[in-house]
Amino acid sequence: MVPSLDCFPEELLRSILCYCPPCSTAALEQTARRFRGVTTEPLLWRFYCLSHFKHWAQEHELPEKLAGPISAVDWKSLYISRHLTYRATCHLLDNILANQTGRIDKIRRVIGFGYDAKDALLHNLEVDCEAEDYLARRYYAEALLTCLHRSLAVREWARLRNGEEVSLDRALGAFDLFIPRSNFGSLEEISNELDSIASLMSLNYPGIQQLASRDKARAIAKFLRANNLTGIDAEKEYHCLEHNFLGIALNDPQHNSLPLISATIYCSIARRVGLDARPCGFPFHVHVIVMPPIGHDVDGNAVEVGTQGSPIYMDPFRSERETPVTDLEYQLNFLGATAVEQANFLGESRPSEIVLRCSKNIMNSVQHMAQFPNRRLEPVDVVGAKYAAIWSSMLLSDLARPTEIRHNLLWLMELLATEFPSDIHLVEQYVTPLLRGMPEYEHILESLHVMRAVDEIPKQVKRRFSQRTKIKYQVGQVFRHRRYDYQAIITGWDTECGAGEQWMRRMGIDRLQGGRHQSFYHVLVEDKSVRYVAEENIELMNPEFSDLPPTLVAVAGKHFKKWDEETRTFVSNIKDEYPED
Amino acid sequence: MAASGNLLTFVSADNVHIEVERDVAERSLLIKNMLEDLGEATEDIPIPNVNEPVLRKVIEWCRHHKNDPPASTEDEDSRRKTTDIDEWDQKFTQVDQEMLFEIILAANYLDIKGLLDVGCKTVANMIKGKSPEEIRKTFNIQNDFTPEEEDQIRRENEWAEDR
Amino acid sequence: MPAIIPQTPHKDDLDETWTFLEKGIDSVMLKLEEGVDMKTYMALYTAVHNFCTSQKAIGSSQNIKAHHGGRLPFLQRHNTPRTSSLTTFAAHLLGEELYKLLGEYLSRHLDAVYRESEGHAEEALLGFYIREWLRYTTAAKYINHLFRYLNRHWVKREIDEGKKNVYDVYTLHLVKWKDDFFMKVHEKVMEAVLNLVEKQRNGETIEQSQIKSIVDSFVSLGLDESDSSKSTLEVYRYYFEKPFIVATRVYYENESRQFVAENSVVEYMKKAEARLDEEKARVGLYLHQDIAKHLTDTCLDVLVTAHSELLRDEFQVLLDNERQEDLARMYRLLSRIRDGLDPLRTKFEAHVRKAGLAAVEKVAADGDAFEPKLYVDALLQVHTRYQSLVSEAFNGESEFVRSLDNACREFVNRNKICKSGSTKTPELLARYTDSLLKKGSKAAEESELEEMLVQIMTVFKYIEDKDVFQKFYSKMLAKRLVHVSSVSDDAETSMISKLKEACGFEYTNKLQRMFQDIQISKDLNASYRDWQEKILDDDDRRKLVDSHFQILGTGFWPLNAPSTDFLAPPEIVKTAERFQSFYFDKHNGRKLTWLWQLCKGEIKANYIKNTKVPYTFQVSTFQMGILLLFNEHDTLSYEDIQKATSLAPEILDPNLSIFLKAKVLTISPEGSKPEPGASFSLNYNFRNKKIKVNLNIQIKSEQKVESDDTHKTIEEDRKLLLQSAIVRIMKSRKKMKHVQLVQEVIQQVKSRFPPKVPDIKKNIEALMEKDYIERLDGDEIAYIA
Repeated sequence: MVPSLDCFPEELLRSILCYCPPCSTAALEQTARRFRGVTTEPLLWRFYCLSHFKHWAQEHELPEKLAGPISAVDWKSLYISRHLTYRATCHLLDNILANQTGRIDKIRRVIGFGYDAKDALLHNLEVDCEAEDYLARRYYAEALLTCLHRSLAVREWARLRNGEEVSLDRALGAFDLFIPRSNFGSLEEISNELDSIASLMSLNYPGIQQLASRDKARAIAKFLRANNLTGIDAEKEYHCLEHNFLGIALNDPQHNSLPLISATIYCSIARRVGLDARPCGFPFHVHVIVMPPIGHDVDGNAVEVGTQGSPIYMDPFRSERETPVTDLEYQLNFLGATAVEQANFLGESRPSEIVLRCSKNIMNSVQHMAQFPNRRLEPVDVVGAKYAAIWSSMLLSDLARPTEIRHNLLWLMELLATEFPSDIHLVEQYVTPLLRGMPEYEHILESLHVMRAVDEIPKQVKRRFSQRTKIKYQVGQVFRHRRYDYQAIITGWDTECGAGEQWMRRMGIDRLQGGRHQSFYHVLVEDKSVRYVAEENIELMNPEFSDLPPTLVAVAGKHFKKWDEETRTFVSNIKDEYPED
Repeated sequence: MAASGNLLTFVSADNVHIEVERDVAERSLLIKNMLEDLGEATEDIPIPNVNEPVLRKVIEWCRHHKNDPPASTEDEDSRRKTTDIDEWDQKFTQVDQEMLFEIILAANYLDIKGLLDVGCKTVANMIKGKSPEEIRKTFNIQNDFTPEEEDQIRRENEWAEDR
Repeated sequence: MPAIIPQTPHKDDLDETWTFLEKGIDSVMLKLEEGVDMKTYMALYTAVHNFCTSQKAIGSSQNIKAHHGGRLPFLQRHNTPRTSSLTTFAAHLLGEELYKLLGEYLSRHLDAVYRESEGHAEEALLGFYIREWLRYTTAAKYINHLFRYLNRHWVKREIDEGKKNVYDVYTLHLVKWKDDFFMKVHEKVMEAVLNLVEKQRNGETIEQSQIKSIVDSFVSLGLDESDSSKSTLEVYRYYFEKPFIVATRVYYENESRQFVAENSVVEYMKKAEARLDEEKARVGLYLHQDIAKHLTDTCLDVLVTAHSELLRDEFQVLLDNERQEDLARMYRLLSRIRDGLDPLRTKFEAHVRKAGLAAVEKVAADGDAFEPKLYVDALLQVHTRYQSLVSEAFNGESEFVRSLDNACREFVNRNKICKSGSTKTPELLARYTDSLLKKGSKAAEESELEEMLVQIMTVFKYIEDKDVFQKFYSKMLAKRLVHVSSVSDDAETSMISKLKEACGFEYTNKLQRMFQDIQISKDLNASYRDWQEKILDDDDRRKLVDSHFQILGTGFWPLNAPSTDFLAPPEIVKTAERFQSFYFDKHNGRKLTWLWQLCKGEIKANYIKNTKVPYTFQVSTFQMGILLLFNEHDTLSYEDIQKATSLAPEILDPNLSIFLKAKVLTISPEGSKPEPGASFSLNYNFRNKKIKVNLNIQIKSEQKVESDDTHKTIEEDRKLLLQSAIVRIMKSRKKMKHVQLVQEVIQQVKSRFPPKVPDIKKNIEALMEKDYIERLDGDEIAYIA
């Protein structure tokens, strides 16, 4: 008998299909009855799901699905839906790259896919330099990905605002989603990290579940301190921005964190080993308040039914011992707190209060950095951190205090316009409803409307030949500013100065040799700013790609497909506006 | 005829005696386990499911790969499997389809993971990127669906068509 | 000789395949010692492989044969009218039938093993169990290899799909052993094991390796239900550890009860310790490490906790008899159980206190006239004895150290000698220190002296009224410095630095300043002499008195201005004035007060003719003032002397008495006391054995007065200390509850002396009167700025 494919036992066909792309498996299914069974096997499609997609939206409940019986899930349908999302994401990204108009809506649709969109975005982000539009593709994939992360964070805070139950680690982990350096893309990843610390802890203290609250509280503090998971190393600057982030504190080998974050880590681990620990609103220094279970005191003795013993306080930032409540009272007395205030300071802080406090801490750190610049290069993206602080404060501040909201709103709109234009739909979804009834409401609606209109109206086409005067330089060329010496790329031009009269006066345009009636250029500068430069100030460069400032290359993708080695210019991705450049 | 020292004697299904070095033979987990259970090989080892030409081909592969690290345990369940095949193995698998299938069956029987993987990858690459009709042609598969069934299955798998 | 002729069965036929396999498995399971040849091995493996890969055998487990005719289930269903048939289809791997048949085979085999086991008991049963276990597990390894194709595909697939109760073939063997054999025999096996262990505990020799093998087998049977590749200790814990612990408990309950009834407690402790060591060793010899903690806990519970009352009752006896070794053993035993030592510490503390009080009582028995040394030595001796006991027998354990400290603090501060008040001990300690640091101390060697100072610090540590010690110490230091009677500067500095270490800078600040003043004075005298060289004329030189001055800062020295008027003799006045003008030249605006009561000098008695070398009298300045009057007159009346010196009678009378007693002066009328009306004459016939005669003797009553004064100033000082603490606290806190303030004050001053709450309250009142603080509503106190 001549062996052929259909005489292979099922298990061999299965081994072969593991190496096949799922589309080919679907093709094989259509060839003959013999292959129908092995190509539709749930185990195979579960394998495809797991091997092709690393990132799953929480809504899929993947861990539960994996733990359940294989037959409870239609794995093939699941694969197909992920596959379609993947393709749709890629198409939308292609579309964004192809045209400057309607980007806001396309971005909103990608973000609408939730965390499922991440695999596609990551693949586009990792595209290699051979690709025709790799600079633009990487730029927009990254913009989308960071926007996706932020949308998850903002959603979590919004839930908190609506009074839903949100765990402390998720509420604070949300800050990390604004910071690429923390390397966390979802709140589940942070929770998993805490889970693994908790299980390591259970491994080290096998009997921990049985301990009374006090002993448990001490054991946890001891474990965290012994593993250096809380507190700040002596030589580190206390106000360092990175100390404000839960994810960084968990991931960084030095695990430095402010008391607030240390307390959060403590409470999160405690909750996982069955101890009721919450942050306590002590001024200046967040402590942990540990409550015994109902019907018991902290030493495990039974007390009157329905009551519980008094709490104890821990300070995992500083010590593995408990802090006697008398010490805390002493300090409060010293500060002159009234009895009501004392009860408040010694009581539990809700997650929303802790988020607000963290937001303030971040602002403090940012200001501290401004006061003491050059201290050392901050490894954390300052703008992202500030943006996170504004968002959280915006969403969780008391509406009864409008000055704070107004203050935040100003910053939020500024950062939205300059740094995070892709977030406009987040602002529309989460911020504008809060403002209804405030005097700013109409104004904000108007601003957002303008931004949308700019996005939706096709760009006015600017052709070179129809211009009366000659435009000397082209979109994509790199130059050095004659006066200010920075390097920049040309991203557009006007035949004469198109800025307002006021601006021209302020900038002293008429004092230029060529005055206002010379060509002016829109340029993208190496410090990421956008400027408007007179032709006479442009000194064209002919640089090697490797000599360009990396910051300039990083933002070039906003308008350019790639670098052309031959002409030593960037290849335009805004042909819809400047077809001849 | 007994093998001695490091030399074993395989007897193929068609009763041909082939001498193999022990370390080469032990690429087969079946042989390795057997030698471990029974101790020194003092007799010929019958390989009842494999004919001489295939067996020689399999031994050729084992000899070339005798110094490979032992196959990793099955922890790769959720990793995307690469279909890259190294150059030597690519040449090795340039045989007619019948021989290729025989090699795969023999590798499966003798429990030689590396060779089985190479075989499966080769077949997978033959399937990759083809339409159902092309696959039928490649492997000489008879379409036994009714037109209605074929239409139904095609509709079910429309998602896979457009790249 | 091969057991079967390898004849590969027809691959599609289950019955034929299994019949073939069963024969092979039988020979592996029952006759492995006869060997298996390669042909058989390969044939068996191949049979499994061929069956699993055969296309024809596809079918569900319920009706295997029913599908033999058809090619695919798909084909059969295709004939039904429902078009949805396409969706109801699943792939199939083959092997379930083989797996089931193998399981049934193993059950049959184990049933036979069980039946055979019923003929064995005790050690024979253990031997049988171990033999069968070895045979079975060895076979399991073979069969696992022969069925590897089944493991690789069918079993793996079932596990991947999350099916429960499907294991790889080797694990299947273990599961079957546990279910079909182990569950029926484990009680009997454990009975045999426990009997064997009991024999060993009774001193017999047993074959330990048997138990070790049983343990290993039990451990191997622990399978993790959720992940068959992992093992757990559950089976071992439940079926081995549990009965083992119960038996251990019973055994030692009986043994210890009996032993205690027949032997002394000391003997029992030796026995218990030996048994604990023995059981610890047993774990290493043939048990699983997992049992160690549980076993130790059980033994401690039965051997120590259950008898802890008895042991503790013996503690006092051992203490009384100073049985250090037995005390150490008791400590070791009781330290291993929960709260085992607490009652001992209480007893120990009481014992040490009693010993301390007794020692003091002995000293006090001879009335008040004892040397301070005797008292301090008594305290030290008790401390030393029990300190060495704590470190030798109680391992220097910190809680015992604390008990020792508590006891010492008690008997140092509250005993018979200081029944009038706790200030007595610091006074005596200070006096003893003075006696050591004064010239003529008995501690000759420097190292010996240092040693004694260290011991003083030991007692000092326990003193509550540290301020009293400071008071007395500074008085005596002042005297030693003024009279240049210190044994050495090094010893003085050493002591001060020890005090500084114990109580801080503030405590020794004044002492150090006193020391500095003396040093500065030395330099000052040197420059004074240089200055004098330059300005003196010949006449001055002739009348020059050899002089030395000490400048003592008013704030640092515990010295008062003289309690009497005094007209210094002109010879001295001249010298003093000269120095004053030198000093004011240097330090403009300072004020000098002459402390005549502390000054002294020497005068030559040229009027006595019966020696070649004239006598020298060592005298105080007051005495000098009196004697020099006799340069002009041979006889002077009491009134004359008083008028010329201005000395108060309390000073004048005793000094005159000294002169009379030494026969420097004679009184008339003879035999009367120095008082108005009497007159005094110079004794020209004065005689003494020594050329230098010391007349500067301290007057007895002075010492007593001085001591009382010191105590009185202590009360004053304490009042100031309390008030300044109160003000300091209120100044920083502004507002405070009364109770809190009292607490805070106690915290701040307790390192100096133990304040009494009524005293604090009294001082708070006093400060209110002075308008430093005021009382608000609700028991609150506020600071008035």
